[in-house]
Amino acid sequence: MDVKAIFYKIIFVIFVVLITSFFLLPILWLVAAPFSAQATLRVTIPSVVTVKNFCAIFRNTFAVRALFLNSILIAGGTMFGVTLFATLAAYAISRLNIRGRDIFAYLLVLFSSVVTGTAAMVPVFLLLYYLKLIDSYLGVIFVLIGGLLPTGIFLMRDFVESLPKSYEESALVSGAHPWQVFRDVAIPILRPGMMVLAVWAFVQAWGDFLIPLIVIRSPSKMPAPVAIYSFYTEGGTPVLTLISAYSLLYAIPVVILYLLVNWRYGFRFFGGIKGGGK
Amino acid sequence: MTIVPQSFLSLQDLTKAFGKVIAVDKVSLHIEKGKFFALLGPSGCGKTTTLRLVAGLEKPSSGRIFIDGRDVTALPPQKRDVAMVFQDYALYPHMTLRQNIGYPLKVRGFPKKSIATRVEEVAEHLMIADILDRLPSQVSGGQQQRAAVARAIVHAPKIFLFDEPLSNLDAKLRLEARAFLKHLQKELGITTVYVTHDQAEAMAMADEIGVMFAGRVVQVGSPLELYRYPKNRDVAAFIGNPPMNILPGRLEPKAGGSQFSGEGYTLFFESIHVLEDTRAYLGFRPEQAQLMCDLKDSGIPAQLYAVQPLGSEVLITLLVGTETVYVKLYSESLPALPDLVRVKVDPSRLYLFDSTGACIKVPK
Ligand SMILES: Nc1ncnc2c1ncn2[C@@H]1O[C@H](COP(=O)(O)OP(=O)(O)OP(=O)(O)O)[C@@H](O)[C@H]1O
Ligand SMILES: [Mg+2]
Repeated sequence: MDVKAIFYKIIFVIFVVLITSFFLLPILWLVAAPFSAQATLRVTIPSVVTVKNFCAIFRNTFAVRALFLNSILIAGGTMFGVTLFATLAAYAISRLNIRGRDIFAYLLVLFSSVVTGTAAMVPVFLLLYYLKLIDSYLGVIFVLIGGLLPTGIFLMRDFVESLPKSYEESALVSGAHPWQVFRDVAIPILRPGMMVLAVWAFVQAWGDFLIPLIVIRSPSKMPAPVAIYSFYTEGGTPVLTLISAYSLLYAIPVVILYLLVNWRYGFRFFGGIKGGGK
Repeated sequence: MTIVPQSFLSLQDLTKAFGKVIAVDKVSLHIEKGKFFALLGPSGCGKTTTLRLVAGLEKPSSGRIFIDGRDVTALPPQKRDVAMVFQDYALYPHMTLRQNIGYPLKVRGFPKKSIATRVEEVAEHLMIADILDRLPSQVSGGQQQRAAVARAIVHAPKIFLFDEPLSNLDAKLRLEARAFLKHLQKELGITTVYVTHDQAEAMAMADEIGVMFAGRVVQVGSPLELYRYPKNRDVAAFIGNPPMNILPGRLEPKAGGSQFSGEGYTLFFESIHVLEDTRAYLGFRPEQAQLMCDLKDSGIPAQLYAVQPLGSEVLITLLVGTETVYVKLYSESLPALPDLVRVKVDPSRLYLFDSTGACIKVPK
């Protein structure tokens, strides 16, 4: 190897290291800070590893409940609703020959941002108020489903469309009722796509701050993104040790869910479900 | 009032349009119980669409379908009691072969035990009993095909529908599968409609063939009828291996008959009478022609293009003017041929087609 090549190689490695550390730093902080007694915004390897921060969090029943009950309920409910309705809708849109269905699908996505967007907050609030859904999990879940469904349908449509029609037709000719075809043939083959959609919906709902902040009134129903504000001092400064520990706990369910689905189905966002769910 | 037809499967003036494209155009077919019927035609002529109409996967634009004396035109596929083998077999990828084959019974609500017995029985019959617990992706193409057939026969349907079921198999397997399917069909006696664009397959397997062009069924008949008495030029040029040679020319009235003049030759036909000089086509089968090396002989002058030995026979490609002509000689040795030869056909073996393509003379 000549000098020039070595030089370029060194430059390249430095470049990669810089980029990587830029993205790695926050993650390192998230892993290191919770175990330190005096966390700052710097990444420091704690001299004494402590679990005191976690103990403090587990003593805060409000925060624990927010994370392990409220957040799970809201994200789980949204995940379930989005997956169910998006699959049904995508299947219908893809299988029925409606004129202009492609335009319909694109319009859906376009308008999806409106539902959960800031501009719609007043009408959404009023709507929930009249439906008596203010301060209920269901209220949050409905708004989140409404916001995620169009994109979900769009994602799911791609999976449905890559499923050859001959499977369903063959089942129909075999004597199966359309709902049997859907249950026995379409759903199992679409399952990897539904899993991707489910994780996506879960993550979206898990991280949402604005909707629960507006809809939920009583502290006992607040999910984690809102509850994290209880780790601010009365003066409004964040208690970094607790926030980092809470954030770490907050990240774990998502990571586990992702790993689970990835291990079982592998993440593929577009098409490519030919091999089926095994 | 509609008259219920006598045949087991009847299509009456069946038409299917996709927007402006008329895929199936007033097709009427009457198929007797237990017959093996092949629907033959070039790509895009509407064979699959016809089959899907019978299965109920498409709604006809007009016309009716009768199965076993019952009008099924308005029935959904699951109520027609037919079975279909798709070109790609459409075995459900997430089910084992056992589950696949048992599925038509499962949706009919048969008890688990009798499903298991019946699946074993059918699988045994089709020689796939030892691979029943594999997924479709874990067996060969030939085995997938057998599994698809097993799934189709498991509930003893009234009618079998096949859409080019052999086109995904290699040549050797295809030959095997032909015999296997024909044997099975005869054994079970289930009325079968078999779609193919391969005339050899249709000839070899079917009791009766319907030839389709551009959405219309042009001719229906036994394989031999189609081979001997094609109704028109399209059918003649589609059937046979290689198909019939067709040469353009002119036909003019002459005393006592008419005369066909082609590229460098004339032929006299006694029994044919035309009113005026018209375009016409001469036809003859490659296996019924002879080659004359002596240029003094009468016959169609032709230029040698290629000689292909095929084992028991030799296929010779010739050029008559710009038209390609095939001649099949039943000989194992390669004949030594000059560059210019004459093609001779017994006059009684000649076909004539008029300017519209209709056959006006067939062999006696
Ligand atoms: N769903 C559809 N929408 C629009 N046109 C269609 C549809 N299905 C078939 N056609 C058209 O109808 C005609 C007949 O198609 P069909 O599939 O029946 O032909 P085929 O004889 O089965 O051909 P191949 O041998 O290639 O399978 C074609 O011109 C095709 O483009
Ligand atoms: Mg076809």
